[in-house]
Amino acid sequence: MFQRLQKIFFLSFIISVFICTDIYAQDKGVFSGGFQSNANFFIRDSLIGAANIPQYDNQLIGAEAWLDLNYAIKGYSLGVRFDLFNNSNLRDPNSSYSDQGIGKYYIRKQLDKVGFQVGYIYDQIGSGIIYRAFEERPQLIDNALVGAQVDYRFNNDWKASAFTGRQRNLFSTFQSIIKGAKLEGYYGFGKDNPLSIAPGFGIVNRTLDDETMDRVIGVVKNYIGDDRFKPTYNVYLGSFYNTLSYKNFSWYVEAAYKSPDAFNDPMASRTVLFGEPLQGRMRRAAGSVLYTALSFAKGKLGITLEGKRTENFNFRVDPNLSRNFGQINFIPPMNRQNTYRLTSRYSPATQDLSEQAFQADIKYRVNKKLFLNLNVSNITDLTGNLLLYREMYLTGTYKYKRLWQVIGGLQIQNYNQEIYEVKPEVPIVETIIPFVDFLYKIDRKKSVRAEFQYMIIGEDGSTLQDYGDWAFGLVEFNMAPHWSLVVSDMYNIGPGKNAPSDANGEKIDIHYPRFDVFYNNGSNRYGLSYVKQVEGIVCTGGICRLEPAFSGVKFSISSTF
Amino acid sequence: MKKLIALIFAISVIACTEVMVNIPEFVLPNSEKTVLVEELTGVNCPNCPNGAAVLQSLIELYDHKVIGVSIHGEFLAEPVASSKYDFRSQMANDMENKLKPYFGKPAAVVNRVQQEGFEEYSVSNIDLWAGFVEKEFEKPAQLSIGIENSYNEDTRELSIVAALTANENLTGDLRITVMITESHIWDAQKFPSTIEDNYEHNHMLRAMLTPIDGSPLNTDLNANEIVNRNFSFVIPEDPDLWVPENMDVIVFVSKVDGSSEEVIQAAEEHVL
Repeated sequence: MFQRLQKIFFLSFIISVFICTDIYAQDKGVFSGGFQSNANFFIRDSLIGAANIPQYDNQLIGAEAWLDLNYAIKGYSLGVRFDLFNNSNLRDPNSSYSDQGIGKYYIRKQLDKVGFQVGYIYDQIGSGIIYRAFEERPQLIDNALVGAQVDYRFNNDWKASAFTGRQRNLFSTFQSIIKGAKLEGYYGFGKDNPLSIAPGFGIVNRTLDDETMDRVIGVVKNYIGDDRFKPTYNVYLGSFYNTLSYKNFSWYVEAAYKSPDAFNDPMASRTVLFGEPLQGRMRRAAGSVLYTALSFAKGKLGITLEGKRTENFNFRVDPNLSRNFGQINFIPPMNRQNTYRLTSRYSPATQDLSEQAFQADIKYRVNKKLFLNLNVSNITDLTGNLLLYREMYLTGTYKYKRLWQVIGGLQIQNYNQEIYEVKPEVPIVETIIPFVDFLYKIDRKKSVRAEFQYMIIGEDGSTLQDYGDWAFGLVEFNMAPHWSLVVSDMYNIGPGKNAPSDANGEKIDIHYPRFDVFYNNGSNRYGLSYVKQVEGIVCTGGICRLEPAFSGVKFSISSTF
Repeated sequence: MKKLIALIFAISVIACTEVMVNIPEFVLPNSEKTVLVEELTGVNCPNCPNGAAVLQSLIELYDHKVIGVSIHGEFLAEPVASSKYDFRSQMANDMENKLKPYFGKPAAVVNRVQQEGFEEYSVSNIDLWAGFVEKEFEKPAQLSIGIENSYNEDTRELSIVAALTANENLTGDLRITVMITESHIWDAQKFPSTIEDNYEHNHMLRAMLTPIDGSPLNTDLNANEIVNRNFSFVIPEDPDLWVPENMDVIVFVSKVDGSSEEVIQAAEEHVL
């Protein structure tokens, strides 16, 4: 039924575009879109763990494609997207998924102060702590709200909106209903007064459907003693947020509360009829998040201080879901979003049940040539006794005319692998990573860039922690405007406890090479890569997941029009 | 304005009050129905002891009307450093592939029913298994299965007679599957924060006497008519494993219809 409706919409979209083009012959509107496609050719490599999923065993090739079409005319906006997945490992890197259909559609109309939208809607309240409908394509997260939204603009500064619908679940929707509203504004304290505020208030309600509630009851029914609780269909969330600006200061604060609701707590003890208590059960509790960010920028100096406290704030369309599925909200991560290969190897996923975190980021421009950046973050559980993550990241960027640039830096990390990757009997991973990034411009069109990183890891008894020490080297040759060639190698130079072993049980120092060729032509980009990639945490847009090793060839196309 | 705010507040308070859900107490179903739970597990899977405990609880709670099979396929089943045995086998791996997709281990499929609204065939959320089992007990027992084992200690040959008696006329592609499981195997197992060197592995799939898709009965089952099927198996000799006293025979009948292969009844009997 749902897919039939989507097909009907797709046909209507095509017809509408032609009709609109005809009616408003003098105003043909704006037509835009994009196409993206990935193809993965899987080459089995049991040694690194790239095996035991159907793609390596027999399917061999997986692909994804998205075609976005958008049209805007006379206050109307409408769009549709076709999605395709063939033997794809994007949603779950350990399995295969195939389907295709209309992945998104929407119609929006702006009528003076009022705006209406139906279809697939992306929006958020505040920083997303109580509600965020968003897409992170690299992990196949698309949490659009399939429903309706109304906006009302009181004036240039104040705006309210309300929405209701269900969360997208690939080509269907989850059954629970989400409703919400927000009021956001801006108030300046006079032309001569540098003080201003941008307050906001939002509320969200989720109502479980009967089938989901039956499953929750089915779970709780089998609990005994104090583990049992009475679930409710509804949960209510509210958040207040404000950005206060005064001269060179900017202070954002958000406080959110969630009424008692059922959620899975992997650390809670569960009593069972027979045997020892288990770890992990569903429980019901109220939750809260406090988040603040204070920024100062003047002249050569920029400072940002952030703090966050999170308690029992797991908010999903279905309490039975886990991992990145069915999340209605988004709690911002509190660590630097690193991009270098080794500095991003151990990235902490946001802990939504018990976390307190602090981060400071200081940027200082010494002169036109030299720029310094220091970032420190510390994340613990709510008791403060369990260290989850700590990072110190220092870089210096030196530019010599327009000829060359060098970035040198050092990262020092402590990473609780037991919590983030559910690996038993592992100590807190300690790393020290020096790195250097050198860019040389050969002429106006050609440049060469080289990276070198080295990870020194802590010891675990008589061996090195996790996979051990790593060295990483990369050379990138750019020929503007079309070509880019990249060669890199991640070398397990000092294999550690979890590194692969040979037949005799000896640890092997494995190379993980990668070759990329990118071709840009206008708004089209083509990429062809040979990739051998070690298992690890992959984060995109602040969302992290543990991905298995990959071995194979990747081809990608990305076009906008 | 104040009245409006008061009204909105009053409506909010009223609207936010809902009737509390009652959680019914457990009642053992009064039925001949049995339910098969096939669990995907592994020595290297830290959360799998939780799955095993939930499975054992269900077996005990339902007074052994729930029949459990633990399958140590390839994924997360590589032995740990202190392991004495490698439980992986081609048969277990084939079964694991058959019961895909799943999002992680432990995962289980109940009576081989694809749960509505789930992409997984074997569901990784162990809390949900009880609900799936309960739903299966709401279905009628269409069949009863009797198992008679005879074991020759000298030749180690196990002879099995499976007697199928339909409670109603059953037609279609009916298939019988026979599994041998072994319990009380003591070996290492990974836990979330430790590795237990002496962990008791139960209901481990050790052999299959039929193809993994089951063996076609090649006959309809008429109500109250007994249909026998015979099987035999020589239990391998091993200093520690393949202990007949710790072994069970599981027989189940599934009905294949398109992509569905729902188990309509199962039975379990000790070898000795």
